Amino acid sequence: MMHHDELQRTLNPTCTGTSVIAMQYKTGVVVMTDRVVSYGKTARYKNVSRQYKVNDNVLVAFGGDHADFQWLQNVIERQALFWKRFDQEIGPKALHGYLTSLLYARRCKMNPLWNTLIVAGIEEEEKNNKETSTPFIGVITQKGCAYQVKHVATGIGAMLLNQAVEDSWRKKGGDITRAEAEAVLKKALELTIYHDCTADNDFEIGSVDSEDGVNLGKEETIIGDWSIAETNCQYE
Amino acid sequence: MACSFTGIAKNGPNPYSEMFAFKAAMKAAEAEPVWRTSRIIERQRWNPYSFEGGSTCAIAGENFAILASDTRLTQNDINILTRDGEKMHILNDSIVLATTGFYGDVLQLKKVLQSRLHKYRFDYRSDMSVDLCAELLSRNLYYRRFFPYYTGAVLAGIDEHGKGAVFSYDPIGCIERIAYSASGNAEPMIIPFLDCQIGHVTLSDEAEKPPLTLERATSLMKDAFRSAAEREITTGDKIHLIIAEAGKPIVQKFLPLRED
Repeated sequence: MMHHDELQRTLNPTCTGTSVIAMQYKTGVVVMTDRVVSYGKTARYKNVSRQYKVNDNVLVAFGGDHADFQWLQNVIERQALFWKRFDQEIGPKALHGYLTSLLYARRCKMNPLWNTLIVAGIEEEEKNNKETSTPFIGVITQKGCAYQVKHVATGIGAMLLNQAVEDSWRKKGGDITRAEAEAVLKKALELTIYHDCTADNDFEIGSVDSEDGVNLGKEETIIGDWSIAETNCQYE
Repeated sequence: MACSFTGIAKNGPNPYSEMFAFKAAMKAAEAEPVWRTSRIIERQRWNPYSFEGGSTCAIAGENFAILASDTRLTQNDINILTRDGEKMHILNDSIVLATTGFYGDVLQLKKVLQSRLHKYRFDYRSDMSVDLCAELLSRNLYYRRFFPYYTGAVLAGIDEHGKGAVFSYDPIGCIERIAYSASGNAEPMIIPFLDCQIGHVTLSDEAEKPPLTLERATSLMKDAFRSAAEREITTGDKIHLIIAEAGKPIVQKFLPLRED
């Protein structure tokens, strides 16, 4: 039998964001999200950013329940302010660890945060050392499973795009420039709008760079090539 | 229901019974409303576990212990999350923890053990021995008996006598010290191979039974993972090899495995 209070937990997400795609390049990270929040399969809210700037070194992007992420933004802001009290800026690794513990703790209470989070950034001390500057991308799933990557696609993009992103990453031998990385992400978005019905062609590319810091990208639009739609007759 | 005040017959029908019955019915309706069909109930049952696949294996020798795992993390068995996952954790100079199962629990278990080992160092000014850590791990697993860490743990290292030690666990803390162990998705493939080659259980009486040297253990380990990666889809990408030898620092190696 179910208890009454289970209705007060996020056991079904309501308004959700779909894939996040992120990639490292030589001196930073680029993160791409589309700008729609869906209610089921309805594109409910347009022009919504799914990226959050924590400080000049860290950017968090999310897939999953939007309400949970808005709550998380508040938690992250509080945590960043807590570090500020000690004249510290929270770094990507620390925030990744913190959010991992948070998501895992909520899972253990059987009251999960319905999000997949991407923490992208550069550690402050590495920022000043240009030789060893290594960008960071950390992924956390809803159940608190966390890992670091060089490139990632989450949500339905994990099924559709991970291999495509990895292939283009490997073609360059991992030594990729920012423009090349952005081109890969745009191609990846084009693939999602063909296959993922909750993806949108309005998107933004946020970045964390060892020189420029965090930049939340401007809204951009992609059309893609829909000539193939002429041959698709599987309408229901 | 006893009524303490006067004016109501004690043996007669309880005047409040109707009210209590109504209250109970109201509570039941709140908890199980009629509009909640079985489909909704099924959807709201949420599984707190996920499985990231992969395999680990450990072999104990006379003066060494060798561990291996693959580095692939998967989602739903078919989708690769990362090719560089860390399934083995070096806890100190003589203890290594190798785990498969739910990766969130793996991370938590690692964190718990690391902090306990840190505190031990602080309290006793020496590193914990592998036997103690094995017992500690068992207790920690059993502590979560009714909401288990869903991990197949293998703890290995060099014990106080300089001998190789491998401890095998089930998710709720059943512990056993054995000569070799494997856990994870390819466990049913690796164990029979090691039974034959190290345990000599399935080898014929005439067959040659070479002693278990570090070189032999290493190459058996590589063979085990290469053959497992051929047949088991969540095992692949890289072999992470850790060699602990008595009186020597721990050595780590990465070897390529198939990536499809």
